[in-house]
Amino acid sequence: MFKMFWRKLRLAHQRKRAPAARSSRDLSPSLAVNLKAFLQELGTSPDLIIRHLTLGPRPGRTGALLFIDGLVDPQVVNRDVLFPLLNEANWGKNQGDIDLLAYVADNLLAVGEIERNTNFRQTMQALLAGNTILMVDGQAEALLLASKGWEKRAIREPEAEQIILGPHEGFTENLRTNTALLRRRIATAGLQFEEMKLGRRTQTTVAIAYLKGVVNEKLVEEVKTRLKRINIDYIMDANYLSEFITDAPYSLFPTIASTERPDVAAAKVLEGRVAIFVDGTPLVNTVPTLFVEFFQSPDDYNFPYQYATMIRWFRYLSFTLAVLGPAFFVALGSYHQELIPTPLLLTVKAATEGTPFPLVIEMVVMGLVFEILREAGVRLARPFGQTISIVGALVIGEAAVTAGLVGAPTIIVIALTAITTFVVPGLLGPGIYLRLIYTILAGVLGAYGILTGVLFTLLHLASLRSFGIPYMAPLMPVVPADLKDVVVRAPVWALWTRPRLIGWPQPRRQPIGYVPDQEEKGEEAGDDG
Amino acid sequence: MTKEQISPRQLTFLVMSFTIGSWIVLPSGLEAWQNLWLIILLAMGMSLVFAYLCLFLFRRYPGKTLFEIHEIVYGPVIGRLFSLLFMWFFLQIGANALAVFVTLLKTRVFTATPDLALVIPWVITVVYGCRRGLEVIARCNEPLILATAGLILLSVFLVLNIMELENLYPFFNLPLPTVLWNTLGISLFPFGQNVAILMLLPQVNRPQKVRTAIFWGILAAGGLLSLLQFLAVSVFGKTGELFVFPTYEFYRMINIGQVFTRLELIPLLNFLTMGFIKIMLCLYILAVGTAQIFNLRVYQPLAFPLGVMILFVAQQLYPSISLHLEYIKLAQPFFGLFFSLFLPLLTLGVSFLRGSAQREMKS
Repeated sequence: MFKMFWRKLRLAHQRKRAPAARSSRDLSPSLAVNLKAFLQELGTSPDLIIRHLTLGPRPGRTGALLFIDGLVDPQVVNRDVLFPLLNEANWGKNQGDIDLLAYVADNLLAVGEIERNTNFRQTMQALLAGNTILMVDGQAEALLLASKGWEKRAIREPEAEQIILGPHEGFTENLRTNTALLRRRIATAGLQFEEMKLGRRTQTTVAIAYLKGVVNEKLVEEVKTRLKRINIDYIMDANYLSEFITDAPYSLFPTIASTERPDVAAAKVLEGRVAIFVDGTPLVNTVPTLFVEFFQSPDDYNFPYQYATMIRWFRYLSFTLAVLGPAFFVALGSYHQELIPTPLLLTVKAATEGTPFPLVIEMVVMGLVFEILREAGVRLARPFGQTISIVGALVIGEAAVTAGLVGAPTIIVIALTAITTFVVPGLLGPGIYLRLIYTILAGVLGAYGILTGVLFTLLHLASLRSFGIPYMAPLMPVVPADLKDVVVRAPVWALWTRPRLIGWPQPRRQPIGYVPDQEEKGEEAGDDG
Repeated sequence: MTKEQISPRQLTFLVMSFTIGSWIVLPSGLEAWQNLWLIILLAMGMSLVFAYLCLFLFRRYPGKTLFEIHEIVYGPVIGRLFSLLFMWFFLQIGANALAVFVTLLKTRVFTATPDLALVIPWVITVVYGCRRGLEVIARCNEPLILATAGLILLSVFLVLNIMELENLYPFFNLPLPTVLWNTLGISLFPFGQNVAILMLLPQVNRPQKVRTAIFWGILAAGGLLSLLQFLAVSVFGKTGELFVFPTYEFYRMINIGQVFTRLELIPLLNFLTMGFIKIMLCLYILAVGTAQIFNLRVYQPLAFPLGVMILFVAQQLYPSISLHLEYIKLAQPFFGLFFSLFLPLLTLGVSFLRGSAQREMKS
């Protein structure tokens, strides 16, 4: 019964969609017909500008210039296209019967990128992408003139990925700017871009970038096949793609990282990864992604390595604390009091004396309250910020303790967790989930509950892959050579090799064994860039 | 079945975890308590010989699991019967380990918690790991065994202020039969249980390194266990043999400046991970073995029923810890001798009598 209903519904759906495919239609020799076709498709949108003109030596032929107001650079259209076309002296001694479009393209227009096209649909796409279309009566062809130019945001430091030292540029919403930012950092012929249009209605340009010779060719092929499989009507952001092409669609953990920083993207491309740019968003995906990448920051490489190593360990510690802190507090407080040194235990017990709920419930509820406060803080209009901080700090924190609803230690643990969560922003989501799950497990089975939860997570992490590369790579399985950039941040001169599983086509970064204060004895690097 | 590959290093680590497994909390041979750490070293040497003999089988039939070798040597019917016997052995290893850890948890930490509440999360985790496959188990095992090894090495420094070397004396004041009997017992359990690893060997990506990998695994495991016993004896002295879980109990004695006291939870968690890995591996071997016996293409659907089976066998076979201790003392050596040594050697002998291995593998 249901099946029949579904089938009918699907049939009706298909019938509705059927008469859309006319992509192979050609332009007509008649200008009037062409213009009518354009108007029919685009409607009477006020931003479509049709400029009629007369081209060629007298008496001339009627022509039309089409562009979308706001998508084109008026300077280009007026000075470089219209001005030479309208200047009669430019036509020289030509007589009536010439290939007018060819002459115009070759001799008159001061535009860098000109394409001749006979296909109606492609011409329409070009027009919508910000090109100017020149058509002339009697020729079933159009000139597509590159005149893109729209309002752009300036290059600024990304707000979500701040660093202290190092370059402060960030990607913008404009694809071309972004690819240029990458190219400026990698000035070698090996850096290659490939573009495709995705999103049936948005026709978003998606570009992949990789370093030929360093990247695994199969990886590039895999990225391209996965991108081509996407059939979606619109793409607004890089995350639309990453949810489509991820290896583990149901996993909590992100197997595709994104960055707003050109220096990060460049470093990853130089290691043999593929970067995926999406027009209209400053986020750039890089694949394959390893778990440890979320713990790395450009600052690690801009600070002296001894300090960077320490900072990195603080990050590992913070993440562990953020995920396991409340759980261990609950386990210690309700099952394993003997582990707490006696004076501390007495203080904690005195503080939690008389609170009505068990520790787990306190912890879970206060954790949720904090998450809600955080979300409110993000979505809030600026002027309300102060209200939230007062309500959060005083009412929910201080007053709840004074009223005896929750113990003060709980608030301290939650506050500590709150801070540590933000140290590793890439794993915010999984962190919150894991914290909640572990806290509940700790409430049910103490440290043993946490252990089963952690083991389960470890097994899950060990089974994940990102574009064929084990997600936990230098740790599970252990890749000893790659631990130099995970357990410590080795000095830059000692980062001799690329990550083994990713950059294996060209493993050497620099002469292996080179040490600054010694005579040069390292071998020649194989990478000539 | 898709062939999952593990590296020789991962094999070494798996052998270590599998050997350390449950023995780390419930040592056998307590009548030789004060010399146990030396007996472990002797037993380790003995088990290296056993392992060498068993590995002859693998060298003779490269790329075949133990069960496949059975079918080649004995023919499909009798071979499968032998395989079923081994299935019981593997099931018993898993059940044994599960019973040990559940008893430990029940008697030392969660005195009021019902058994099932402890066992169910265990089985869920183990079944999940088993379904994910050998690669995942091996990968997950790497940090865990390193953490355990690190903890055991670190304990040397933690107990410095409470250990007394006089506790170790006298050396070898035991009658020779006791020494030999316990050496044999320990070389069969835990070391002899490594015969189960024969089921995994075809999945090692560099078969020529298998022997070295297993030897290193046994050596490292023996060294770690011996060190742990050494520490336990040097802390407790003669009184140590009164405890059921001496290696766990001696961590309670740690007291560094009144701050680091009662640290036993940390080794408990660490040793539990070893138990998880051991049972996971047992379950994986059981599931894959069943799939091989019955010619199934995938083993994953078997993981859950077999996991529940381990649970019930554990509860039926080892209802109490005293029975368990009796079993380990009286029955385990004979049981182990039969499976870890006698059956593989029998298979090897029959295989030699039947002649060239290559010819048999072709037919």
